[in-house]
Amino acid sequence: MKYFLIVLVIFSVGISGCVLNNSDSSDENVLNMAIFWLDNDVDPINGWNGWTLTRCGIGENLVQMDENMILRPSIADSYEIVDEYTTVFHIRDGVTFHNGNSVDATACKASIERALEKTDRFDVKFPVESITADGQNLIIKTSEPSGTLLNKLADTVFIIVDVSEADEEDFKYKPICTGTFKIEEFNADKGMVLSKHKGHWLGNTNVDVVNVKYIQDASARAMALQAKEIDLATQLSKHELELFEDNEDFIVQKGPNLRVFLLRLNFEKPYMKELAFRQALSYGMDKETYAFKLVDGTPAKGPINELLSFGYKGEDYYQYNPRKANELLDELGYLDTDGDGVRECNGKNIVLEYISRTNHGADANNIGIAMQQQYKEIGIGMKVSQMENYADLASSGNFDMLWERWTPAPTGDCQYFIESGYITNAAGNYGKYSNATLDAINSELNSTLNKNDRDALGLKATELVMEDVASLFIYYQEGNIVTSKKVEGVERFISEVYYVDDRVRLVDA
Amino acid sequence: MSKHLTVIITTALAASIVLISLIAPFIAPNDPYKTDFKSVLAEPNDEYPLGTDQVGRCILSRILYGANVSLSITFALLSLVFVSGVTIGIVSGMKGGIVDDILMRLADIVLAFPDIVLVIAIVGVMGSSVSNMIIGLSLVWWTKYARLTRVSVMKAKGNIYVSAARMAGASDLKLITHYILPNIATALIVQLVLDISGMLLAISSMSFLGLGVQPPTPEWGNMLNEGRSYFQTAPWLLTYPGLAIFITVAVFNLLGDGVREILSREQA
Repeated sequence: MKYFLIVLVIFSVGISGCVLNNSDSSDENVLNMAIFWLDNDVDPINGWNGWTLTRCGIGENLVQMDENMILRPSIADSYEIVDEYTTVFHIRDGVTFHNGNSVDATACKASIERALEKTDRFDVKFPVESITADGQNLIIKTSEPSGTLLNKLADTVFIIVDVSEADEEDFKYKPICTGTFKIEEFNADKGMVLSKHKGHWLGNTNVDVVNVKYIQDASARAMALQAKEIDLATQLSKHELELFEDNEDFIVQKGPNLRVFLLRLNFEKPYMKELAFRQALSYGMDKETYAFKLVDGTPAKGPINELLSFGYKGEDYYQYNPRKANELLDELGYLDTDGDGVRECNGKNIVLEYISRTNHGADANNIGIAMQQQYKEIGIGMKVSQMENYADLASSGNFDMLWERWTPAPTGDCQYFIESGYITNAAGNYGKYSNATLDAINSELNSTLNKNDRDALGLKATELVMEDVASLFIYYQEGNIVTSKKVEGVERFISEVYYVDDRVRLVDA
Repeated sequence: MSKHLTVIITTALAASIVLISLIAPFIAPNDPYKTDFKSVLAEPNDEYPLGTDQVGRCILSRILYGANVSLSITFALLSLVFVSGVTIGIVSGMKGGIVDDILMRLADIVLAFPDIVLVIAIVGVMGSSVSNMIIGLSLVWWTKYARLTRVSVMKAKGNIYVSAARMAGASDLKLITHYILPNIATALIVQLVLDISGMLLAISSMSFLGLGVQPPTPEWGNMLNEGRSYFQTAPWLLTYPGLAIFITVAVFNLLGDGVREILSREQA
């Protein structure tokens, strides 16, 4: 029996050795990376699905935001804003699609028109007068002044794709773009296999194959890094990051990024309509402690952090003060008449439903537990749940507080977060928030071109939603990206829209 | 003799586990719900003998309160399935015919599915809560007792003493309570004791999956789930609730084995 076991062990080691050797013996440079989000398809016109394309170096826009949120030319090598209606782009010579077709103004025109026609993202649409292709020149005329045309074109919805293949059945899984890598295999549950786009206009990378693994769980990503299954992962949690920070085999890049975590309030609930109640909710929670002790972040003042020119830089509104919260609730007449420790509104206990989605991770749940504890002190009950069918729940309005993560200005402009999340009837306005002043600011932004004026309006909107407690803004994320020593040329983008691009290289590979 | 000793020891251990769960509120060093942000993920120390969790709650206190939660649900559920299963089994065994057919085919349908999968499906449809988990688990577990009781009743029914009692004018109810139940009780009790650990594991599994006891109520299964992502940096989040489950399951398993051995020897 003993000998049999020894033989078995030797045999299995032999087999696993063969398997390992197989992957090592090829001459290709293989980069293994993890992403924490993957949609059912990657057609950029669908929602935010295009983020996967930019994160993995597959899709490119005419213009893009670099790691410091500065607009830079990409497929267009230059652009000129002729007047408030007209912008002329010059398409870079020598850009080709993944299928070898060359990219000219006509191809870009077709791609942009397809996006405008078919996208479900109303926040990125712009009113078109005409789009004209003339050789390598693309002239976009809008029917109204559009101050954010460049920012909108930098959104992943406007990733340039080869429209001549867009009717193919698997286009939504393998869109033909122009980036450094092209999709060979797509599996919505597992991830993607990419190969190098040999005709890329820069062509610097020495990576031949990228295995993109879809790993939702942060601790699973950390373990995959430790096991050397992957060479690159992002958004590890605070405690897992410690495993890599003093490890010479890994490089950790971290710092504040744009992402804000917030709790959307449901304005259809009778108590939420009261400003004093919402203020009490803000006074009742100690976000400073949550940010510093529970997650590695910075307490959020409003939706936009100070990294951006229109971020709010003053004192936060309604900071933790349970005494004040109790006073406000008493004044409102929400008293605990039956002595069970929970205040009542119209005779019913106020028990708030706090909902987050499973893949929002442990942090969302932990903050819920912490808030639940702190709200006990102000006589507010809370039920904390984490669930899969979050989207249905969000649209059904069956919640009091909805955990959301937002990159409020992925293209560096202030209008996006207002328009897509807070104006009356906005697509993401699940809490049915409505404020006439905010709606007016949004309309004013539509016709404001000057960057400084736009920023001033953005700041005004930020202060408005803070003062009115449209949501509870919890914390700004500390972004992180961990790479193994064999990977070079990876930058941490504060927008998180990009992970790898043509600069990525494998050393001594 | 040594078997008896094992049973005495395991009974004592089991009794002490039950006792601890009952007096948990008095012996827990801290409030199991209180979050202490100054000691988030603290290692075991004087104030928190088994450390704290991701929001600074005392693990020892949560395990003690969790014992109360886990064991009371286990015993409540077992009583429920025991009573309902045995009743259905007796009806099925005594009546026979179409009643028996209907009840047993129903049991076959339930048994056709892997039990925990069926419970997940039931709770998934009804929504996750303790009451739904209890409904789900009892809908699945009654079959065991129903079948066992039915077979035992049918066997007992054929005995001469039952026929004698019947000829002496005993009613069905009297037959069951005075003649049949006392004779089949041993097998049922052994099964009941053996099932304690299985039921405890099933409840913990459901809570681990987020379908049973909901946070922040401490329960061993959901403590494991909450601690899952910290196992590299704060292993005490997993170790102690895991040990609690292990010890309890082991004790009740040994107790079940011992009881079975003794009772079957006595019967033989």
